[in-house]
Amino acid sequence: MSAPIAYVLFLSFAVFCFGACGFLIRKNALSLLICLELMLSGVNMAFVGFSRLHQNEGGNVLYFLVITVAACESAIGLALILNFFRLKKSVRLDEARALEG
Amino acid sequence: MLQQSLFIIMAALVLLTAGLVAFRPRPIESAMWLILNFFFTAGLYVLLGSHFVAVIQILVYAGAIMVLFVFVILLLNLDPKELGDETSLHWSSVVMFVGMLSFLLLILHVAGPQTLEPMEGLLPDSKFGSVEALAQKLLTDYVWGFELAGVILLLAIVGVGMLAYRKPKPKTPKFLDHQERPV
Amino acid sequence: MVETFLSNPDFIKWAFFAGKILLLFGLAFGVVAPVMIWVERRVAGLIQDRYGPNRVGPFGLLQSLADGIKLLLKEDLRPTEIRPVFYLLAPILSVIPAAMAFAVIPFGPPTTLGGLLPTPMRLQIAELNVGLVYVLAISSLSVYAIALAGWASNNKFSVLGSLRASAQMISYELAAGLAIVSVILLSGSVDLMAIAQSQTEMWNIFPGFLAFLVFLPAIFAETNRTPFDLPEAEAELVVGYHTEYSGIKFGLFFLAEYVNMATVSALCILFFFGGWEFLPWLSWEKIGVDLNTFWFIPTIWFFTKIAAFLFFFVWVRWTLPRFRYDQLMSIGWKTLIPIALLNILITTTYLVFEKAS
Repeated sequence: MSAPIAYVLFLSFAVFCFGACGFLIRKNALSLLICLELMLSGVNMAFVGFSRLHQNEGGNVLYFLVITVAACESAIGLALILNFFRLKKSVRLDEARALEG
Repeated sequence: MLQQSLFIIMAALVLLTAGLVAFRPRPIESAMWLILNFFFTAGLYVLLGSHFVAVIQILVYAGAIMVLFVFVILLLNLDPKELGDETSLHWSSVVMFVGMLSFLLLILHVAGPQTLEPMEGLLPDSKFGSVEALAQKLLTDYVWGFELAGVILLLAIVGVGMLAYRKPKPKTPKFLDHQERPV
Repeated sequence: MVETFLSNPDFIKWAFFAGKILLLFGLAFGVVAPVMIWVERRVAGLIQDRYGPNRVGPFGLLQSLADGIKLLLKEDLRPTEIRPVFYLLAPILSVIPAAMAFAVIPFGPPTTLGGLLPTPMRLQIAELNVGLVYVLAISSLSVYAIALAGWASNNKFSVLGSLRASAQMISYELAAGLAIVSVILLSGSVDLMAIAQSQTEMWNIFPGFLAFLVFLPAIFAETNRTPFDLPEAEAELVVGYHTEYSGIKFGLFFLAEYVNMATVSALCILFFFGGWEFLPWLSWEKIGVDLNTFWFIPTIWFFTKIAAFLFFFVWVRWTLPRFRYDQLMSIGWKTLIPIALLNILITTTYLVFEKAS
């Protein structure tokens, strides 16, 4: 016997919400990226849960695609943060307003 | 029954660590809690029967992505001033958060009571979650997605290389401090 | 009453399970690590034409025990400007992955212990059907200990050491992973037991020699051993990431290093040198050893191979000089990874033609 799909979805949604909340209240770029990872992880949980529900590996395949995107996104994001830090000597995102009208 | 209680415990741990990730002030703390969160998530995947996915969760997330994060955090070695003042969580967002969660649960109850029944057990000879089953699916039905993932990874490598590249400075002769520099 | 309880198959199974956990972890942390420390110092003495430790016990064998007691009883020095939580966390995090990775290594074929057990069981703490990927995943976690140790002790040398270690371990993990891909292809499984058993006909070292050439430097770099011990290069960085650690915390780092060495040696033997098989092309069955009664022979042979490999580690340490950091990086990225990719191509071609013929 396994847990109901509703529990998995609830958990997935809750983790996603935590990530989204963190994303909204944070000011430094590193924490933003970390919260983004949390959101992606939450979405992954739903994929794996559905995969288990239908006993079909399709969800797990989607999990792989999401994790690929997560890896790329974090690598590029961190490279951007490093460049930003070289420029501004801080990682606060409210300093990034050179294009402000 | 045992599996369900294990699931509940694991889910609670995932939620707890997710909360700590989102609301701890310093990035390094967030990162450490996120690593723990990925471990509990992997445990959850084991309970769901996807063993290979669980190991990949640790390998890619905890072993590669978070190492990168920790590495950058240590490299920058920021003091609190450079990190910026963290706003504490406003009460309205907490209310919104809890409200959204309960709304979801309500919808689940109303829309499909069958979603609250335990999922069907796996057959004893089921290949679900094994490397073979996943590879079968990945390399037949979803082969284009797989190739696309490879292309995305390649693009990311090239992109990061471009971002990180700095022109090497022209070499100037170096002098020790106590040496007179030629005028 | 007691006899029926003792011969109850469930009880025997659980007793075997508990016994192997105690035995293998005890072996790793209680025997391999101390003996290796002694061997390392004695071999250093041998190679450099001096004695090495020879005062405590016969041939100085009890030196590690004495060192351990000293480390345990020493005052726990703690610098003032550290980051306390992470400073404490780092040594713990170094031991946990070492133990976790060691837990999935099989030490022999499934056995009934000479008829003692009702069904054949594995000489492996955790039976995992994705063992290889698990080992890769867990060994990539040992970076955290080093990175946090250097950063938390708030010392320039430590930070430099930990930054070096992180970059080095990330780079060489890639090479090791790519080298292992060809092992997976050759054996057709990610179960460590199945990989070892697939080599009864021919060891993987022959079709996978290139993979071995990539894997060997990669594991030296992963365990931070000479010639890749840049993170603790004592001539430049004092001792790198554990400069500020003393007492048992330093002892934990030390212990983890040797357990990691034992793990990667065991992995290398499982991947390329046939696990517990006798000789290439010559399995135990072929030379007529009855594994049902002499179940311990393959295990002992496996341990002998591990010991030989560990000796090789020590030998290399006292023979080769240390690389420069840019050399290390260019070896990793410009030599090992292209070779590993080429090797995957060669292996797949070989397998296709082998299947066809």
